[in-house]
Amino acid sequence: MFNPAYEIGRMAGEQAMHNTTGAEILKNAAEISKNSMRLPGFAWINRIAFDRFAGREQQLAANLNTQVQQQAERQGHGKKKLLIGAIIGTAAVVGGTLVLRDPEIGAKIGTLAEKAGPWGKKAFDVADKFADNSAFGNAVGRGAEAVGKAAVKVGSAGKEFLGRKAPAIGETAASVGIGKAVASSAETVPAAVTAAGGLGEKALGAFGAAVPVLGQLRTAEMAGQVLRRVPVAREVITKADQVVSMGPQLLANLPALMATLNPEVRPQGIQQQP
Amino acid sequence: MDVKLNLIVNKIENSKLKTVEKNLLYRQFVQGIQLIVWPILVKHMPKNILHTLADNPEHLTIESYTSLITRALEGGQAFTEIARNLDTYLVRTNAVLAQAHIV
Repeated sequence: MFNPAYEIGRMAGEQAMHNTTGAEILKNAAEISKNSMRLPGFAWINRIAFDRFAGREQQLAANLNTQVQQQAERQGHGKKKLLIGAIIGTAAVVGGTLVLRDPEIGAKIGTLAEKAGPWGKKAFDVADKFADNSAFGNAVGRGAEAVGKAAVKVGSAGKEFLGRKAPAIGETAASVGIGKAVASSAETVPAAVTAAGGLGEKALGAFGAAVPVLGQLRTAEMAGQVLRRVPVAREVITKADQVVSMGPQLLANLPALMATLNPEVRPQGIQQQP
Repeated sequence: MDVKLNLIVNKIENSKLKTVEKNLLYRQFVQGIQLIVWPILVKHMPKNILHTLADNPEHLTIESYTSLITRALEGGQAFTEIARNLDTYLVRTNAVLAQAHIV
């Protein structure tokens, strides 16, 4: 029986084999797993390939994530706030990229930032740090600036909303959101949204994978060209908006959220290496 | 590229597949993109910096990590490879969906 999910995964593996980087490793992984290709999907081969080929890279991502998480936990933040932080931070990054091209989306991001309050401000601070001189960095930085300005504008309201811990939460949001967006946002976004109750999982799942990819494309012009019509992006923002609105409910539903954070749904990119 | 991406998402979303089946497709799609893009990025990362950081993960920071990605994208070659490969993947994914009568 034709299995499209399997085919999509197999295709990616096949295509990756044609890339020069890691081709041998991927080939080895394919050989090792060729008898297991009947497994549903190809998460298995993917895992092997990355463990071997990109072990160093993935180790970096894992360590980065661990650092962020440990920092957040030291500051007394639980995973529920990490989840929300990832959502808010990612929304800020996504929005930061989009706001350059579409005033309407920019306005929407501004509204989001008002709701997020200090979270947006902190996201701006961190985004600004890695703006550097790269086109993508500038795009994120400039976009995040809009978020930051909006957040500053309503800073007092945001603080009232979040209470005295708002700055620390914002820092977590920024670190987790942006750190993960860079390190492993391809799967962080859908995982976070899944944990948040499945809101926008479909749109975010696919677009969340593409946004960092597109965002990392070298030129802002290309990113702008790709995102010009941004129909999916609008959906992302809408969903993110809904997630923000659900904040209090998310906090009240911590047990259910945590139940979703099992290893099977946890993104591979942030798993520790064996 | 956004048109192709949107097309795929809409096809899956509007299909009669069960939610669990749709989620599996999305997951594979995400992993597929990652599998295609990351090797290209890693190939273009400065190896000395990559290895230095990997050997000293305690020195890793968000800035140093993003710097690796930024450096990988310098010169435009990685960008060209990513764009070409990603476009191919989207086209082929769309074809797979059609084959599975997800239209």
